[in-house]
Amino acid sequence: METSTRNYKFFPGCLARVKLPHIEKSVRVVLDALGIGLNDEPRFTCCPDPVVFRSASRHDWLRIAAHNLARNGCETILTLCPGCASSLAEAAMVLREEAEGREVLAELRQDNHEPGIPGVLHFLKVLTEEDVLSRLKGLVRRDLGSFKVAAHYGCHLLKPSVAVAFDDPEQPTSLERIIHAVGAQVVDYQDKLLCCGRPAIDEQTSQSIAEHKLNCLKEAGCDLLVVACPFCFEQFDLGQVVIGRKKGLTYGLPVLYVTQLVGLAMDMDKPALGLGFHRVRPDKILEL
Amino acid sequence: MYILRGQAEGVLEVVAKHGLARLCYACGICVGDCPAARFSDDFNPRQIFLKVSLGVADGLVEADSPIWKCTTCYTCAERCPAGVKPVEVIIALRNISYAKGSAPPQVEQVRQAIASRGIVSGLTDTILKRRKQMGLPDIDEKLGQIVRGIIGGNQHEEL
Ligand code: SF4
Ligand code: SF4
Repeated sequence: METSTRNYKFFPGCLARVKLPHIEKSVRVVLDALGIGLNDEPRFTCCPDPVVFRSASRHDWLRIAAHNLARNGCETILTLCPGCASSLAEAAMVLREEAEGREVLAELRQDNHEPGIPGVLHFLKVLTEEDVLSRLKGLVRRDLGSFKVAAHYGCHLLKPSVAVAFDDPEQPTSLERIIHAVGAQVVDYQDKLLCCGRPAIDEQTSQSIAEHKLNCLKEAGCDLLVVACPFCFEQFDLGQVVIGRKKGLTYGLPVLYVTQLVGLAMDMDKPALGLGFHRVRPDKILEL
Repeated sequence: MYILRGQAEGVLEVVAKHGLARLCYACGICVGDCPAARFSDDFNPRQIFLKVSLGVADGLVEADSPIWKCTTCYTCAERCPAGVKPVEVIIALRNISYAKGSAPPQVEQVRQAIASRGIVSGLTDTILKRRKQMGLPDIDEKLGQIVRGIIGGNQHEEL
């Protein structure tokens, strides 16, 4: 089989690095198995966070993002987190198109940085390219056909679409294509494209949205929820325990990062996929 | 109702700078699919944009402003037929609110964390150990220094 190796500069972001290393691990092992090379850049800081940090100062957000982009020359950045992808891609657009961006680039030049503005992708974009997807199908070793899997896209993976330019923001199919590729069943549910709620700084709003989504998922009767964002992951994995405790109920819905689902289908080493670190353990349902 | 001239001008300036000073049709499309509007009772992106475009910011930059309910999902910016980006206006209002010290404490906490460590939250020993066991790369201890080099040591000096 033709194994064209592609290389990207890897941007792991904060949440996975400092709280969910098993997710980072699953992304690394799965991309590696698919022949996608990741180069690390130890000096990448927080992207910075497009929600809370940007709420303090949009200008500082732009300057830090510009440094992360410029640090990199022109090698395309591949992110683990959609928040990082949208933050960096949006900043890249501002740097290219707005007067404020040009000022920041001029500042960087004074600091002796040669301000390249590389492309920015979330890894799901590479994972769903035809050749990678067919390679993935060829590596499936485990039959997941009995599992009903629902997809949650979240927001920053798809939007702002002018910056991230990924999939169709109104009718995305990437996650379903992965679920199909690993041989599991796709479950549709009400309000699939609704935000997970996590980025609302107001906690009440955040929880009400998550609770509604969990109820929709429960109604649809799925075995697993698959996500591609560490914030969505936490909001549903830890969040269902918090909300369940308040409401006196148990959702019992295991959440998988999309690379964990792929790794499972490839019959990868269970500890490498870190399934033991989930609040709602997927092992039982998966009979591991 | 009162008009916060200085602050409202600040918002209008941001709105103009990002090319958002377009005419809002008041069609309400941005409200229909807004998660924050749907799951709370006092949040409405159209109303926020209309107020701001009239130069009125009352209730929007104070401590209990509804602006903190926005999830920054960008649905409003995607759907608006007039090219208005209510979410960018909300972020501009948040910047003003932060500058005047009315933002929720979480905003300053995150800013401080990034300025002191370069990443949003601290690493515990458990996670460091886990990263080692998993063979994941070390995290550079100088990331905070890099960030401070960019945004400067100001009133938000390292804790
Ligand atoms: S970005 Fe904010 S205002 Fe716009 S639709 Fe989402 S929650 Fe509503
Ligand atoms: S901001 Fe856009 S979507 Fe919202 S009411 Fe105005 S024109 Fe309609």
